[in-house]
Amino acid sequence: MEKLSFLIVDDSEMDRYILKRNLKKIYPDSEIFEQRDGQEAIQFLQDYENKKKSLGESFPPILTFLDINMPMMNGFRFLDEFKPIKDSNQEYQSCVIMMFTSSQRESDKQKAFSYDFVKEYIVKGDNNIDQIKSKIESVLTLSK
Amino acid sequence: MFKKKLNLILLVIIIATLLISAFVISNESKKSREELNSRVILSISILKNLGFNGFIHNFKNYILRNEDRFFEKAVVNFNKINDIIRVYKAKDLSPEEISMLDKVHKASNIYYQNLKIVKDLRVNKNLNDIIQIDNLVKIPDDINEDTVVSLNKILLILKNEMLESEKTARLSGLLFYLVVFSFVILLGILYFYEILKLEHSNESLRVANEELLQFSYRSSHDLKAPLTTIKGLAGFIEEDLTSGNYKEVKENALKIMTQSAKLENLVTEILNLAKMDIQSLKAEIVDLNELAKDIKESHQHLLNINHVDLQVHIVTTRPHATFKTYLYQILSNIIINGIKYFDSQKNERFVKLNIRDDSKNLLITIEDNGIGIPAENKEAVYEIFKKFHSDNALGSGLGMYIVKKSIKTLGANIDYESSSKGTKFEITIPTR
Repeated sequence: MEKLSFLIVDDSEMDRYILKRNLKKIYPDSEIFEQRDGQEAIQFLQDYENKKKSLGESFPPILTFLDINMPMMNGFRFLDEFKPIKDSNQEYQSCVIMMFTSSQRESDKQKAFSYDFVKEYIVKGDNNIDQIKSKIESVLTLSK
Repeated sequence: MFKKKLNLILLVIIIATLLISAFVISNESKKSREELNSRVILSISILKNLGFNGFIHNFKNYILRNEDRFFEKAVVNFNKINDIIRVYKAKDLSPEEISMLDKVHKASNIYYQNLKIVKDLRVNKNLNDIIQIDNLVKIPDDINEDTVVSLNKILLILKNEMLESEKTARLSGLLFYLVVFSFVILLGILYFYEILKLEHSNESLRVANEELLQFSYRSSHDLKAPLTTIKGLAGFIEEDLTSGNYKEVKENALKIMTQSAKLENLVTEILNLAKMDIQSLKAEIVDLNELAKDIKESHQHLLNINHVDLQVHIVTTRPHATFKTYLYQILSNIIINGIKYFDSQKNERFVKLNIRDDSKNLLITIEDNGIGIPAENKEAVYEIFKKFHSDNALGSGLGMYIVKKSIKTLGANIDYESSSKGTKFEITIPTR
């Protein structure tokens, strides 16, 4: 099995920690990147050449966990900015997004799914580790 | 609100009274004109029945021709004149007009007496000599003249009254239309004003409702988020206790404490906000030095941790009465932001609170040398639940919203300048 790499975009340090620790439990060998808001995440993903050089196989992350309410650049603005980046580079083709947010608003959910590369919507605290695992697996199977 | 309504009702009553009086005046003048017209008709009828083809004409013809039909016609004329004068005198007349009518009446009575004498002479005394008869019933010239003069005077009085009444009618008509016109204009203005007011209150209701929805959604979201985190961390603690990873247990316990503090802070601010809404407003003289001391004490812990120096400088010329809670919220929230968003690159970190006054206002500046507010966020600074910096565990996103609400309530002004060198707020609060 190839080495998985994930990106967590969330302004809450503790939520990143919790998700990271759970991911490590499911995929001990995985590589996990963290960014504090949409803007940092865009900067990270934009810089394909350099990142590929320094990070190798782990870049780009196959699955991004994206929060919605973040300062500077929120989740939706990130999706807007990421779309042209993803479309312009074949390497990003299999990269998908899983929303990981506290927002239970139906309108947020619908808005998120209007982007075809958003594959799952998880409300923080609503799923235990096994549920998260099965959701990740189904998303990764679909994206292949 | 009630007072405004009362004023409106009073205004409508005044206008209505004006309208009714204008109506009454115009009605009165119409009535008096009708009355005048009827007097004109009556006076013409007197003339008709008295003069040519009337009473005197028939009287003379009876003497000259000795035909009974002239006698009968004359009697009819006389009775008519009597009736007309009776009706005429029942009206509201000047003494002059009455005396003129009396003279006419008297003259017609004399003629009537003489008519009966002529009949008596012809029927009972068999006297048929016209000249003899005429001599016996000759009416003195002064009575005839008097009658003509009286009738002319009556016509003159009527003519003058007619002219006068036309003038009044024109004036009252003008007045009536003027009042009606202003009433319509006023109604239009009131209606327009009410619509404007209604639209305005609709809009404020819509905004308030939107704000409330946003608030309840965001506050419940922000209350739930730390709880979810705490739940996750507690789960890890349980795992780590079993596996004996006590270092991680300690770290997560500290994180739980931070999250709890964040939650506590948010709940406190929501309570502050609720307090602001339900507090009865009472302006009181504020001891500014004590207020500054309270603020400093409540933020002392954060001042120590972040190594920020809070410098207070207060010089005022008179006591100031204002709503203390709001003033406290404004100062406290801006100062705490200055402490929270310190610039770690700077060794001497400060927040300076400066209070001066003039005859009408408190003039306050709050200056810090922190990281500053990004320029593109100027519009959004006072929005509810707005945060501009990541990894700030304590920010509730309510602070500047509370400031804005307080500023609005106090009728105050706020503005700021900010750069990477720091931020300076300037606040002007009207006081008594």
